[in-house]
Amino acid sequence: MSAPTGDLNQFYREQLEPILRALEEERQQKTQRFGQITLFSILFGGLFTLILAGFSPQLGWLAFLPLGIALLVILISYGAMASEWSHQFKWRVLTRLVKFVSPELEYHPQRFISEKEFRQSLLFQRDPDRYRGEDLIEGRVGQTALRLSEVHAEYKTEHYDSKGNRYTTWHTLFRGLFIIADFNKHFSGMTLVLPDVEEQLLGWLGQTLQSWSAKLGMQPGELVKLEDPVFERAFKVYSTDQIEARYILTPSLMERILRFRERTRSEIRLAFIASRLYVAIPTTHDYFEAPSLFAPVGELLKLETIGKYLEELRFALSVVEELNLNTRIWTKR
Amino acid sequence: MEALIGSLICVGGGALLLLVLFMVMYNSLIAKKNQVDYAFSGIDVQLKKRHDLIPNLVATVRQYMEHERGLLERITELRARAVSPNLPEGERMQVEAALSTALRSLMIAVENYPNLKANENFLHLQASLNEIEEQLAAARRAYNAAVTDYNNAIEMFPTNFVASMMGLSRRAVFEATEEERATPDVAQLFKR
Repeated sequence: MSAPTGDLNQFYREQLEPILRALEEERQQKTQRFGQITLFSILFGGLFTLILAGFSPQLGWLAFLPLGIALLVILISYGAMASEWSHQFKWRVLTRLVKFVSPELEYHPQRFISEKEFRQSLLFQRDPDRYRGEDLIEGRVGQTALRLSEVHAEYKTEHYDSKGNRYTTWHTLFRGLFIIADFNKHFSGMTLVLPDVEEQLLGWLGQTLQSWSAKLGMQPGELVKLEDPVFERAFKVYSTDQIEARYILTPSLMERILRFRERTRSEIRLAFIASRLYVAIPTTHDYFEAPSLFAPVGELLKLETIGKYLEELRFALSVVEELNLNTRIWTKR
Repeated sequence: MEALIGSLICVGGGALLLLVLFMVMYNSLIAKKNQVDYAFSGIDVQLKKRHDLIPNLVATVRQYMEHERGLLERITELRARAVSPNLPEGERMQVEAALSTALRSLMIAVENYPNLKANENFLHLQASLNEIEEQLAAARRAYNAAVTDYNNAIEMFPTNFVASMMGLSRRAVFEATEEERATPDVAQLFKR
């Protein structure tokens, strides 16, 4: 990974601090305005409710309608302000931070890895019914072109109760960071590295089941048995080409993938398709999120707050270094 | 009479079941044996690519590396032996191993020639050689995996009975030679 181009302290003082000060001021104005809106809404709502209840007691619960409207106004204005705030923070702070980490990177808060690309990775056995995302970062880290974003893919199941009413339940298929990077070797086939649940539970019998599931066409390609026993226990590998799978998954890359899995502390999935690498890192942590609109005064200006974003960013980009993608000693440049 | 028919059906059913089992095991053993041959041909492909690359490589580096004449001649000679059609299989692998070692020494010796390392043509050849060596390593590992699978089937119950009937015997896996396993002594090379 290319090292940050300058000193963080200097970058913070010269570029971020003025912006953060302005933002902090805006934030305080916003919270103030929100306080006013809340106060007036409740006051008016309450007053009308009292008047209505006093003059026409036959209205009953309907008399509380003005108070309800007041609450709605508060909620809507909060939603609008929070999203405006998050937008401002991302545009003005995070875009600069991304540029600081590497000038060859671009940040697009509202864009994300497309559903088509998500499906192309073949990392998940079913297609999502609902697909969302945000925080796309794209560009180059060293010689490696990459795109990454947060993704939330869900599928639904439907069932009926005895009266014939339909219930829809949404299940998370994947939520976390989804990364697409240019791999440092040429290959034309497909190799999938998936978490190995069966073998951890059933041992060699699990492996036999996996081999059969590939033969029966439940998994694309065929099962690849690799030499590294630790890797074999952690992952199952399917590929369209036994030799190509080993060309990609060298002993050193297997070790690196294991280390990366430990670092992320999650069941990562990797797909190698047509010289591209797809990595899915499941996590419930919301990356690159703006601080709360009601953060304590001055919180925004702390260096640690910015440090947290920097850490998240470096973690997301660390895949390049961890998997050694910038080593270009083979025919691919 | 009925008892006789019943026992006949039992025996017949049992025999049929045995036959089907035998067939499944026979076919899976053949598939494994073919997988081994297929994986071996994967190695062969890469070795051929390497043979094709060597004359070009030697021609490019010759003009720069005055002090490595001996090494270059050795590489040329080993390549000539490796491609000659009447080389016995066992010996062929030895020649290829010697070729691997010689090429590795050459790539280390290159470090002494900065002009060569700036040559675009050479850099391209070096990347190609790296590529082939990487593919070769992958092909060998695929071969070893296929052989392990095959050997397991031959020795494990119950396929071992069928395998001995078919006259199948264990195959040997590729092992890195002593020379390959040792880290090259770079300092030694620089002293020459």
